[in-house]
Amino acid sequence: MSFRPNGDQSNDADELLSLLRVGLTDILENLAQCQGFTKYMSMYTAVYNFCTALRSSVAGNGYYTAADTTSSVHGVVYGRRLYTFLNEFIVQFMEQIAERSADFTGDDLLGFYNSEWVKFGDSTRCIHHIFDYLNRHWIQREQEEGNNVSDVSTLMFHLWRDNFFMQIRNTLLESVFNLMTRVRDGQVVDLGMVKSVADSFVSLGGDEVGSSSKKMDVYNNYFLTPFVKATMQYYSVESERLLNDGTIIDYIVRVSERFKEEDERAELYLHESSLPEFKQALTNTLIGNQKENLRAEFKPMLEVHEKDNLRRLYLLLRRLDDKDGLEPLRAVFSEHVKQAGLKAVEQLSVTAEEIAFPTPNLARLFVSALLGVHGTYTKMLHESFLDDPGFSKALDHACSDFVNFNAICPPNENKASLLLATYCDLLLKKGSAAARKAGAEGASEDDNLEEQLTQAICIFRYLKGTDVFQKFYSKGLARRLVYEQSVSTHGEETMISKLKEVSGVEFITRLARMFNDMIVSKDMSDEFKSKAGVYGEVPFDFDMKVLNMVSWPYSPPDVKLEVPPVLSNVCEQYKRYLDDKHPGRKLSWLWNIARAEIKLFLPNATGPAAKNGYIFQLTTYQLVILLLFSAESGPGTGYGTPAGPTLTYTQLLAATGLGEDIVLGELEIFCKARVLNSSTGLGSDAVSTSASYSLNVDFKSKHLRVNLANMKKSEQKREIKDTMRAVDEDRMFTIQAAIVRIMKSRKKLSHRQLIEETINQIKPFQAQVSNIKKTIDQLIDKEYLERDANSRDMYNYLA
Amino acid sequence: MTDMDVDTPPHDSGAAAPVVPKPVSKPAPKPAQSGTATGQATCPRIEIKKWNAVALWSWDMESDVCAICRNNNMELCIECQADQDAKVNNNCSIAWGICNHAFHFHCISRWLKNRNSCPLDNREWDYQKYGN
Repeated sequence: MSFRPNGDQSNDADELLSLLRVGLTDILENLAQCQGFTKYMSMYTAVYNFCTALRSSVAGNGYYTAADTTSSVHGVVYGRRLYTFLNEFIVQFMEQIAERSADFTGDDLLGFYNSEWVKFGDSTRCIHHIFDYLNRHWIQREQEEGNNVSDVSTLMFHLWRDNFFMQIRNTLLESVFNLMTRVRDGQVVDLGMVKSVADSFVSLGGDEVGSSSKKMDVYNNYFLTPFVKATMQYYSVESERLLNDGTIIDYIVRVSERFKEEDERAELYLHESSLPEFKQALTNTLIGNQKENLRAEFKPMLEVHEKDNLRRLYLLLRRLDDKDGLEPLRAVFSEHVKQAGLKAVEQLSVTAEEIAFPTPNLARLFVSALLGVHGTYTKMLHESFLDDPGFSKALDHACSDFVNFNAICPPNENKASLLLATYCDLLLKKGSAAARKAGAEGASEDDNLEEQLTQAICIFRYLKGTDVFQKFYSKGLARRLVYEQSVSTHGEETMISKLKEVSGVEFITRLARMFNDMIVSKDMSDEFKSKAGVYGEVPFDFDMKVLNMVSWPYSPPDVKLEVPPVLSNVCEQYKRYLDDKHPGRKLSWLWNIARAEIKLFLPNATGPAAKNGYIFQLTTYQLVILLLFSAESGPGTGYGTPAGPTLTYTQLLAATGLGEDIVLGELEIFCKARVLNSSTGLGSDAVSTSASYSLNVDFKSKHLRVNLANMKKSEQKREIKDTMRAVDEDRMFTIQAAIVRIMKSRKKLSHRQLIEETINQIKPFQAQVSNIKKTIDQLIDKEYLERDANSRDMYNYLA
Repeated sequence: MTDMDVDTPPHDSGAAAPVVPKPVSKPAPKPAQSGTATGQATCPRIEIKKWNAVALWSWDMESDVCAICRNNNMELCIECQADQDAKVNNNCSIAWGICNHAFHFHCISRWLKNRNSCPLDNREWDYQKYGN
């Protein structure tokens, strides 16, 4: 390419350089006023000309020697010369700045540095473009050949770094630290200055040959490290002062504020890559050194529920490693919650009798004590520990401890399950005062119930031995359905679906089927009534519930009963109807579950009772006994008299066909309620096998309605015992099934492994080792397993 | 021990619209009434107003379990049990053969695909009735 002088431009190398010198000085010193297209172009051209000036036009001017024979060699020479020129020129300029900077200290120095930095940055960009040709050709080629040459802007930043920055950096940093100290002491200061200084440090580390990590060298080495050190120094002094002057609580409050301030500020002026290091240093200084002291405060705070300080402490210690910070706290929290739960239960005033056979009232007190503790600490978890998963787990752990084992619930008795099921029954049973009373003001009954059921489920999640809960819940549900005592169908369904959510479909299959039986029974009762023409009239209001044998917690009674025709006729009528409707079904009548309502007319009655009689609610057994006393004739004496017949115990036994226990039990109820008179007196003497009985024709009651069908305490106790026994039996089967399943797949296992796997496989309850051992022995007897002949410790599966 | 439940005194309808007094004694009753529903009784009399009876039902068959799948007759057959969500469960019932043996309908119909005889007595199978 031949060189063509551009306009009046001289092509003499010296002239070109002096033109550039003037131009560069203008740009560096006053960029704003020297920008213009013409000027820019002339300098750009000068650079171009200088680099391309070859051969004839510049020969003999000392920049060209005879040895340079190729264009590339000429280029090399001119390029290097221009590069050297620029380098020297900037060095000089930097020296001037350095000299001027000596006049400034403190904030003024920061101001000076920043304004020079901004100016220099702009100028550098401009100059970089003017030297574009050099960048693209000579410099690029040199770099390709591996020579240590930088592009123009990098070169200029390096020169700033080496010839100015390195000389003043200590003073500069001191000014920064000085400023920071004032900020931390609460003065209002322009943080922007710190930011631009920090930014300049970042830029100065730019584009060094090599890995990108080196980019931050200048910033990290000359800014961050000293800055962090100064910060630590400041705060270790402050930390010591705070601890000397105030309590550790004051310290926590103050340090929390400090962290907030520093975190916010750091975002403003530090490079993001350095935030973790900075924060870590701060954490180490303010928390790490005090962690034992801080952690020691946790327990006292918990005891008095200082939620704000707890949150502060949580946030502070969260900055440490889990192991150092929160882990020990979580253990303390868990233990504290557990103790609180145990105490709440212990404080309930209960008698030993109530503990043995819990009353609904105890169930209510117990559950509300548990909910109280759970609620308190769930709130704390949310407010003070920001729902930290670790704390949440600690809370759950504590809850499942104190819910299942406490002053009322000894280990291995599953009393908590029984109590919760009783509580659910209380909630869902019509007319239970507790359900209404406990509700919040203003909430509708439905919302209220839903809320209470949700709380019950919350405790349910912690239960060990949900199989026990299921058994008792199903007892309660059966009673509510059969006696139509449910507070609402919606409530029942809600609870079932909640249980399903927690424990799965299998848990509620039978419960759900019970609802279906109710609907079908209702339809069939209506249809039966409407078909009186076919199957016969029923002389009283008759309702029939037909329950699936396996879904309900009832079993056919092994009791003989001489059913009076008035009832047996109806039974036969209904059975005929059922045979037509659903052939192939057989019925087992649950006499004692059935309820009758009768009117008793007495010759001596006065007031409304004289006309309308007394209304009694009775079980079928009671009905059958009482009917004997209004009969026209029978085994006793005195039929047709105003006093009615008298029957001996033996006669009653024979006429009803019932067992002694039942007859004695019912007689006791009748005598106690003064419905029957005994020949042997009153009170505890009344019921005896040698007595004879007659109606108390002078029976008086304030209420026209008398309920004798309520479950007797002794029956309730028996039901609890029976249910527990049934659970134990079911558990043995579950264990047996689990062992067989495991052995079938593993063929051979050691005793220890078998026990371990069995425990792991059984979900709804914790299998006890003693029961597992017992079951293993049973299975050996039944020849499902054998002990290994060679090793007593091993079992083999026998197919 | 018995609780005496308290209710409001009844606005009696029974006396106003009396059911024909029925013989209620166990031994064969005689129609001689000692009182009427509306008047003062001359001797004690009991009138049944209501009876809410309860009974368990099960399939009327010899064994409680299905001889094919060994599940309880009242439960789903073993296949339906394994697949609780399937809608066919609704039809999982019992079927009787003319030999009076009964099985889950699903179980016996699977069996009958191989041989048309009762699994228990080997007599030729014919359906007698289906449970529903």
